[in-house]
Amino acid sequence: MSTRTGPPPPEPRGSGAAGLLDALRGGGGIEDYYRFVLRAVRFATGRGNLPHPEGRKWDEDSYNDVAQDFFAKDTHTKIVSRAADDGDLSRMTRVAVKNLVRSQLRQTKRGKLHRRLRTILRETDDFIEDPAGWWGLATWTDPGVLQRNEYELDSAAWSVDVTVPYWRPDAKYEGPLADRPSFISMVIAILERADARVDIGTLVRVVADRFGLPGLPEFESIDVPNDAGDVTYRREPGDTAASVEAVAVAEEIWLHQLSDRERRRIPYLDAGGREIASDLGDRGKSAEDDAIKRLQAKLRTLLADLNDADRGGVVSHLRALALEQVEGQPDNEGGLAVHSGREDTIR
Amino acid sequence: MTWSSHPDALVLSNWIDGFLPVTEAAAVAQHVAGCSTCRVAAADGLVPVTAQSTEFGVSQLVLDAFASLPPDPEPGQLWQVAWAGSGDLALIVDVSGPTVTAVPAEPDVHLADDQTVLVDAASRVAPLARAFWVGLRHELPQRVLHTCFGSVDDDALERVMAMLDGTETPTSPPITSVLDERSQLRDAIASRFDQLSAATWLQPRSTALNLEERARALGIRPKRVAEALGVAPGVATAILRQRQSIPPDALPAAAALFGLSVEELAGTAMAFEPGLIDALDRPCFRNRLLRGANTAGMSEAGYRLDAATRLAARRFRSQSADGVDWDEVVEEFLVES
Repeated sequence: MSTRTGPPPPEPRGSGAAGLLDALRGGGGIEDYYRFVLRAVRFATGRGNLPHPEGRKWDEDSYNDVAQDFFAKDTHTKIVSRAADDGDLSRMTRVAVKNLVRSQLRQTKRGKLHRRLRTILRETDDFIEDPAGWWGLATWTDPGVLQRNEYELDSAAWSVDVTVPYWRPDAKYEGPLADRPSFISMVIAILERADARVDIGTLVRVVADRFGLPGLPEFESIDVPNDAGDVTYRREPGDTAASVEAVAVAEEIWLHQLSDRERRRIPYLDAGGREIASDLGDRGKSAEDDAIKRLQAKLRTLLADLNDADRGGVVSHLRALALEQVEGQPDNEGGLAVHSGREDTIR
Repeated sequence: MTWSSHPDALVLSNWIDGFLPVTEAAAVAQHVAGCSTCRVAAADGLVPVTAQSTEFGVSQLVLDAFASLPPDPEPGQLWQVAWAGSGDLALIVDVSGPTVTAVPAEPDVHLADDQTVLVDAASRVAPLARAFWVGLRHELPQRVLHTCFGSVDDDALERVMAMLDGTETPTSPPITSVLDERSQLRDAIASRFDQLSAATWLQPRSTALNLEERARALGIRPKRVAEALGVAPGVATAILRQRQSIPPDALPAAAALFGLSVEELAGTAMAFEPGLIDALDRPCFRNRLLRGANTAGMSEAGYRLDAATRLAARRFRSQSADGVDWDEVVEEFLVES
């Protein structure tokens, strides 16, 4: 419990806020709304607990910077034109601010992509850069500059198969988005679709979108409220997307992160060394005890970023994969009894 | 209602801005008054207004639209569509009686799918919407149309119609995975437009129950209904013919009279004449009906139902000949209100 006495209770805006949307539509209310946006920025950043996009600390100026960006993009006009009532105005504004802060964080990843892409383009003979920083294919003789809508280039980027290098999920540094040949193929496809020189900013935007680094929707939530009105992440258990994601993570772990010996022990995540030693007959009780603890710790590390429900989904699918493996073995036609584990073992 | 633990940041912020219901706001106020932690948090959220805030205003396009009387819908118009706390923008591509076919109009060009038409940044409506999600077209009742922002450029409408016909070349890649963030955007838009399509203020009418036949079978005459329900004989006849709803406070008496439960009787809403429904749903009346609902402290749907009930009863009592101009009737009602 805080020992601070704190200021006197603030007065809520009360009924004055009930007409904020009407006031804005009538050409007024902008100061109240600015104050509301600024407050939404503070909450969206967890009062400064979220990392600042530029790596510095959040302060009054940086809160105001986000609010200014919000207004400079004219997001408020789009919201005011859509909102059904004051509640809708409040919800859309909070989502817009949250998405704006998240998008700014993604911009830092785009910055890294920009540097990498420029390096690859400069080191590859397939491309040529003009003095203004626009890129074309080296085989072109006299290309013009991009005239068409840059978003028409997106489908070209999506038409290229991409190879993502293997990278340990618990590695200290973030892995590359794709390998070098994938970047080269993608830029060639984009330039061929453009049939003209394209500036580096557009190339980065198209490639970033292809790799799932687009800006977020302006005020559409990718989080959805549940029946109780609480906002939860859309990919929760029971949602199709959640199970698909869990399956994808589980398969990645199964294929690339586990040894054969570990895979065989997946069904025994909640079992003791004696039971495992008895069933598998590989090692003694103590050795199996140590091995299963190591496997549990490894999975905890690999799944650290997931919530409990998603972790449960991944473990459940890992068990299913283990079952498939056991049933698929030629010497198991009689149906080896597979240990039935619990999904909460590694929580 | 009291708060046993600290209200979370969202609740506090909503309390500061007056977005909480009265009872919840009182509970939060009571908690904050006695909790220094929440006082600090709430005071933290009361940010002083900076000078910059006055530099920003809502676009004149929007201000003009909300200050104008909405026209009747036509293809090519961009509308705000809203109902029951959920709003969006939609481009009308067809008008058919009381419904319009519309496509969601969104601002995020970089999150479009292969069925979306993107319009140029120089387009007249570009400050509001640049991505028309043709693949998510919906039939919407006119009652959800609120404010018209004018028509889109001819070229944009032609491209939307071509996409509807399947002759427009997609400019954005298709969504092939639920892990694609665009799928979440698409689902959210689709869900909102599903809700808007289902928007209604009409109560579902029981088809299984015919009050007039039941009264005849039970030997109940209109006069007895009038006495039991405490209404005029004419109103009793209207209720029996299901042209007027039973007053809520008379439902228990009516249930006892007809040997039914209150729930069964509540489903016997009256059938309104289509002309009355269409007139009440015209966008040109919407703002005034909304103001009436706010004044009466009712929901928009509840107020329209109430208005329809009164107007239908008035017409029933007047026994006037056919050919009523319902627009005129609604206009008179709004002037009286």
